Amino acid sequence: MRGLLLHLLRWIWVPLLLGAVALAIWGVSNGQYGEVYRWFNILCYSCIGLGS
Amino acid sequence: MDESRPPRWLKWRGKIQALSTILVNSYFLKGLTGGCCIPVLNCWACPAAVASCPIGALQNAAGQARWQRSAGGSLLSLVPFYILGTLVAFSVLLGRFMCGWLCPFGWLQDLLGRLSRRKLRLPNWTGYLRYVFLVGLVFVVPYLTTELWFCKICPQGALEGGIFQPLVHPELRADIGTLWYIKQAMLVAWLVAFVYIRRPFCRLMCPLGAIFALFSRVSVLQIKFNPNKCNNCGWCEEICPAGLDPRKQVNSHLCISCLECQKCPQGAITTLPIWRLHSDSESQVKKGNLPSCATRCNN
Repeated sequence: MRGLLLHLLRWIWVPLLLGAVALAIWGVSNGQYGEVYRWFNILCYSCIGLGS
Repeated sequence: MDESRPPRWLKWRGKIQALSTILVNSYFLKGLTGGCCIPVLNCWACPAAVASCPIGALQNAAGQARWQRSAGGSLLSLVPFYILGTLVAFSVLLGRFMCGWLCPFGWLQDLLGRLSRRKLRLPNWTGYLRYVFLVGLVFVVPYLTTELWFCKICPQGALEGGIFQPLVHPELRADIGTLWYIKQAMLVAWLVAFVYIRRPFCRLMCPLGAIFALFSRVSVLQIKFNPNKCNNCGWCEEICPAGLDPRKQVNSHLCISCLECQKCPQGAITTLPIWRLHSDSESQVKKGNLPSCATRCNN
């Protein structure tokens, strides 16, 4: 059992990485990159501390 | 390879941190990379920032999710897969390497930390506070209020956006109000804390570090402590920028993977890919350094 858990721990990064990359690509294909780009180009008053 | 000598590239950490800070604030790539979420805490309100702060982007996504849900949007469309997927991918590969080697705010903490040898130690439980900021101020409150509440208190924003934007754009100075003064006061408090506490922002508040820490235990990059080589000199605990004791807290969720402990004079701390972390005894058996029963020992 311990061997199985160690084996899982050693290689679980593979499906995690593949899943993360797939999700990122899926998000980009659904326009989320464009949304981030749009937010980037809007001056962030909260970040600067302007206004109330 | 002589394991008692640290890898030469470790001495480049400060220079790499400086280079990373310059690159993410190099201005000229703005038009190309503005939609990229870089895995470091660099305020996108900085006039020279070339890419988006992932924490700001997550807050925006949470606020937008509120509007989309009100308009009948599907649950899947509410989740910022691009941002989360990017961050998880970096974390799974490199753990918190970005915190220790690339983050501009981490670099600032390291620089100011050199000003005093006297350090205040924080209890370990304080490392869980950043998860409260992550869940509360990055997801829940922005979803409920559609405002970027973490950005309102972020000291990196106060430094890079709050100081440099009004300098570069004088027309913004008319909008300076109470929030700006509060942010600057908080920034000053953090800067003082950086001198007397090791990486306090990373430990107490950074939501990006909190995300990376979730996956750092299973990331490819791992640190191994060999107690057989350790002579308990305490050198690693003395130099750890995160205020940890690597002998006890190696691969802790608070570790920033700066790899400074790898300079151990005894060579007791090394960096390994995760698939070798638990199988080192197997390779030693194959080399003839250990008896065959070593692979069955609990280590």
